[in-house]
Parts: sequence; C-alpha cells; structure tokens
Amino acid sequence: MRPFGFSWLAFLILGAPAAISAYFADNPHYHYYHETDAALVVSFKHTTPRIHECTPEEMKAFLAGLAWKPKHMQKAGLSCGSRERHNLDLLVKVDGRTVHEKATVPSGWRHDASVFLFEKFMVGAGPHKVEVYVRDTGAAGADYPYAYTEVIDFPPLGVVAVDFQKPSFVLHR
Amino acid sequence: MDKENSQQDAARLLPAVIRPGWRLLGRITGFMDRIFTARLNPIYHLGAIGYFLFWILLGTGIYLYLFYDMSPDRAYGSIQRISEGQKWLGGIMRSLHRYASAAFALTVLIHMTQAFFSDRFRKNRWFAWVTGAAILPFMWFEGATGYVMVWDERGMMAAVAFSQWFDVVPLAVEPFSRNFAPGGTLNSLFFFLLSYLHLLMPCVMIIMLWIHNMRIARPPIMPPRPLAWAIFTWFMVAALINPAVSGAEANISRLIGAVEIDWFYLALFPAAHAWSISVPALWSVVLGAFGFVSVFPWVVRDPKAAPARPPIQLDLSKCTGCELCQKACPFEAVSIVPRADGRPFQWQVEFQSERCASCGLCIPACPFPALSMGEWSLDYFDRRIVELLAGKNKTMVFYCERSKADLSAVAADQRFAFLKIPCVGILGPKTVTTSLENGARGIAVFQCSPLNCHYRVTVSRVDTLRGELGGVPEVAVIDGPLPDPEDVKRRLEAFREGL
Repeated sequence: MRPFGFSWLAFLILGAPAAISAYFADNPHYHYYHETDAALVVSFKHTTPRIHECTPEEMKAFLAGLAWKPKHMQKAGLSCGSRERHNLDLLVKVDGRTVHEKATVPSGWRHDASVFLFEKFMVGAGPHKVEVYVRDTGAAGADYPYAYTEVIDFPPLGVVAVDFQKPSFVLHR
Repeated sequence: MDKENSQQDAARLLPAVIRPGWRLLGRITGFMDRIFTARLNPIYHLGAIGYFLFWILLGTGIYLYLFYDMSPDRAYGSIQRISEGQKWLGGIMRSLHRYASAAFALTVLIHMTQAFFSDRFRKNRWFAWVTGAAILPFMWFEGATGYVMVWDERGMMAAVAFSQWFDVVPLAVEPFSRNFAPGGTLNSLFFFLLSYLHLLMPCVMIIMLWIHNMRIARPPIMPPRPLAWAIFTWFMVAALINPAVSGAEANISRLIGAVEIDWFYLALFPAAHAWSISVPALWSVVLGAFGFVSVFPWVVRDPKAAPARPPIQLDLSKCTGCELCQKACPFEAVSIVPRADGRPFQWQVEFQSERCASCGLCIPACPFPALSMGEWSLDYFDRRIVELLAGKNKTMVFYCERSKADLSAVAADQRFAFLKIPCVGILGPKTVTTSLENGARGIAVFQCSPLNCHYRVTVSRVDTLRGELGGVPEVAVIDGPLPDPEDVKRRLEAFREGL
C-alpha cells in the first residue's frame, strides 16, 4: 500500500512539518519568574491642575470681553487661565530605597490632558515597606502633598498595584 | 560548445554569496526528487503549501470564532468548552488551527530561504520578495494575537509583552499596560478589538498575497492533491495524538512562572526577557531585521556574476497583437494595448521591461516573428544550428544554462553539437525543423527538473513542443540535475544509437 501514492519514506517525511509544528507550538517551556519573585505596580490616571487657573477677576474680564463680540469672533484671542497643566512628580521607594523618581508631562499636544502612569518594579516575595509620593503642582523641591506608606506582604509571584485616586491611594491585589 | 559544464554555467549566474546555499539546496532537492518524484517534491510547491495551510487556518478559524466569547471573564471558558465540550469537532478544529498556524510560519520561512538561495528574489522578482516580506509582520501579529485570545497564562504573557511594545509607540495617550494591572481597565472592549484585529488580519493578508502574486502568471494556490491530502492527514494525526490545550487561566494579579511558548510566534518575548533587551532595542532589532531582509534584492549582488541578458525587444512592424506572447509570459510582463502606429490591427504588444526575466519564452510563441533578445532570435537559432551541424550527421544538443547537467565527458565529442540556451522554453517548432532539415541525427534537450524551472515553466515546454510537432521521436528531453558526466554521456549515446 502506498499512502496517497507516496512511498512510506516520502509519507513519513511529509509528517515532519506537522510533528515540528506540534512540538514547537508548546515546547520547550520558558521560566519567566520564580516563586521568590513578586511585582509592585503603580498605575493610575490623574488630571493635574492647570498651570494658571482662571481667577474670578479674569473670568469677569473674559465674560465682559465676550459680551460685545459677535459669535464668530468670540474665540480668537480670548482665554481665561492656561490650557497647560502641571507635570506630575512621582517618587517610589521600596524598603527605603528610591526605585523611581520622575516627572511626567500631561498627555495631549498642548499638555492639557490627564497623566497616565504605569510603572512596574520587581521586588522579592515577602513583606516590603512601600512608599509612594505624588506631587501634581509642579513645584520641584517642595514637599509631596500626597503620600502612601505601607508594609505590603507580597505573595510568591504576586502582583500588587497601587492606584492614586486623589487625595488617597488604593491598593489592588 | 559554449561552456563545458552547465553546472558551472548555472553557478556563474548567481552572486557568490548565495552559491554555497544554492549547492546545498540543489543536493536537498535532488534527494527529495528521488524520494517524492519531481512532480510531488514539496520543495517545488512551498508557496502552494503555504496557501493550503492558510485555507485550513481560515476554515478552522471561522468555526472557532462561532463559539468564542469576547469578554475577559468568559473568553478562557469558551475556548475550554470548544476543546472539552466538543472534543471530536471543536477540539480537532482548535488543534488544526494551532498547528497549521505554526506550520504556516515554518513554510513561509522555508519558502523564503528557497527563493533566496535559488536566486528568485532579485531582478524582476524583487516585487514578489518585498511584498512577501511585507506579509511577515501581519503573519506574526496574527499568530501572536491568536494566543492572547485564549487568555491563558501564555496569552497573558503575550498581551503584557505586546503592551510593553506598543507603550513606547505614541499611538495612544494611555499605556496599554494599564489594562493588565490589578484593578486595571481590562474589559470586553479589549477582547472585541482583539477579535476584530484577528479577523481583519487574514483579510489584509489575502489582499497582500494577491499583490505578492501580481507579477506571476497563474500562481498555484493549491498543491497537488496527493500532497495536500498527505499533509492534512498528518495534521489530523497531530491533532488526535497531541490535542492543543490551554494553560492555566490568566490571572493579572500573578506573575507568569513556567509557560509554554510557541517558538514560531512568541519566541521574541522570552528572548527579550532572557537577554534583558529593552523595548526600544527590540523594536530596533525587529525593524532592522525586517528592513535588512526587504533590501536583499538590491544589496545581494555580485559584479563578477554573469551579466544579465537584455530584456525582450519588439519589432512593432511585425506585431499583429495576437496575444500569444502574452500567454507565454510567466511574469505578466506583456500587455496588450490599443494600436498606436496606424497599422490595420486593433491591438499591439507592450513590454514592461522591469518585469521581464529575459527568459525568451515569448520568442518562439510569436509566429511572425517580431521578438528578439539581444542576439537571441529565431534567425539566430537558424544560423547557429546551420553552423554547428554543418551536415556532419551530428546530434544537436540544446542545454539550459541552469539545468546543472555536467556535459564535460562529451564536450569534445564530435558526434554532438552543443548550443546553450537560457531556458528550454525558448525552443520552438522552427528550431526543431531547422535542426532536422540540416541533417541533425536527433535533438537532445537538457532541461531543469521540470517543476524547478527558474522561469516557472511548470509544464515542460519541450513536451508541449513534442505535441505541437505531432510526436517527434527524434527529440529527447532529459531532466536535470545530472551531476555525473558519465551518466550524461551514457544517456546521450543511448539516445543517438536508439534512433
């Protein structure tokens, strides 16, 4: 008997791609992380204040300026406060060691939208003192107005996320 | 005889850098020819096998899609139900889908390697090479997103890695990675988008495959039936013996430990992790490799290689617009356009020289004859044949310069007259009759392995020629490669004595 007209050797050779595909589609395994590993994630969305907020006096002048202008001219040259927002400064410490300290520019062409942050830090499994500091006023050198400090017990291969929801922090496990 | 050894002729046409690979490929194809016969040698059908696997992927993918649930909570369960709830249909479909996708990547890789080392990637074939290379990222993205859809640990690994990749590209203001953090934003929209992309990619790939084959006449999109059935049978065996299963369900609150990797589609991710390659560096490596492969047609060249022949020239005063040359052209280099020279014919021929491979197949197809290629024309053939035979009862031997037949043992034999040709397709009935009228004792033609013709003359042109002449016993067609000069001598002498 000749399977599909092939010799047995030819037929067996034709099985090689299926065998290779079936094997290498799953094997060999790869070991990403071990039981001693864990990760801290700091992930949140936050809208920082505008660099220059519209004061009541400016708003009054702004509205007065609008009053006499026809509608198609109202936009040009008139504004109240700035569109741009402050950078967001984030400081993260694990067991007292600084693992992240960086200012993030708000998104958008004119930096007028929210800051989206995602930072991941590998830590060992077990308890760690985690400190997260946030400053959204762009005042470099000043104190961080929002702070979170906690000793978190990281389970083996666990991922724990710290989320900032002004003015507090939320822990997700 | 122009050259004593057709093997050397063939090598001279190639850039030096690909010659070792070309010789190795020749040995492998020769071995496979012996086992499979030339007609069913899978190496000659790699493109068609790729299509066949693509059709399997499409069919099984449509079936799986009917039962797929696009939500983070139910995606994994829906795949499990396909595998376990309908083991003999859904389970097999899933296994076929996975293994055919891996084999598709493998086939494409071998197809590209074969095209490269057989010098079918440059000159007029640059377009097929570049458009083929452009399919690779789509193929890879399609394969990798398929794993994410399963939403097991391997899928999550791919999703997290993809997110890190795309987070450095200014596509969206919000990092994709935020989806895959505890308390993150992962929802059904992500799975809907993923499914949509996984469906969209094959549609894009069909268009790209069409573009890939635009400059090839009659591209095969199915391998010979016995080959297709045998391949399908083996995939069924693989699906039954080793059914595709999911790993543990994805859990975004947990790092990935040991995970199964599909080394055809996901190898980059563990490689980047193992060697701590940063995401921008990985982008550079991937884009650099892709760009490097794409420019092969222009960078792989050798000024010492034999010069290219000129493209076909047309004598418009003899052209009637009969379309026969267009039908003969394997590379879609001939267009039929409205007549522009005022002669009383409706159409005329127009050659696109950048698509012309200079194979000369159109020359004998033209009955008038309006075509030539440098010195090559039907008149040239007549002149050379008369010179070579000179009424001395010689056997006329035409040999394709790529046939890899070693003629050194008969090169000095006065019983034979040799004429090197670019391809056997250039021989027409007139060449045969001229040879016989000038006293040739038989005509022997050395061609490439019939399905391995450099110019895609997938059916032996000389067999067709035989039919056109109503069966001429004086013509013998001998398939290459014939690396043994004594074997060549034996065959030629047997043919001559047998007449």
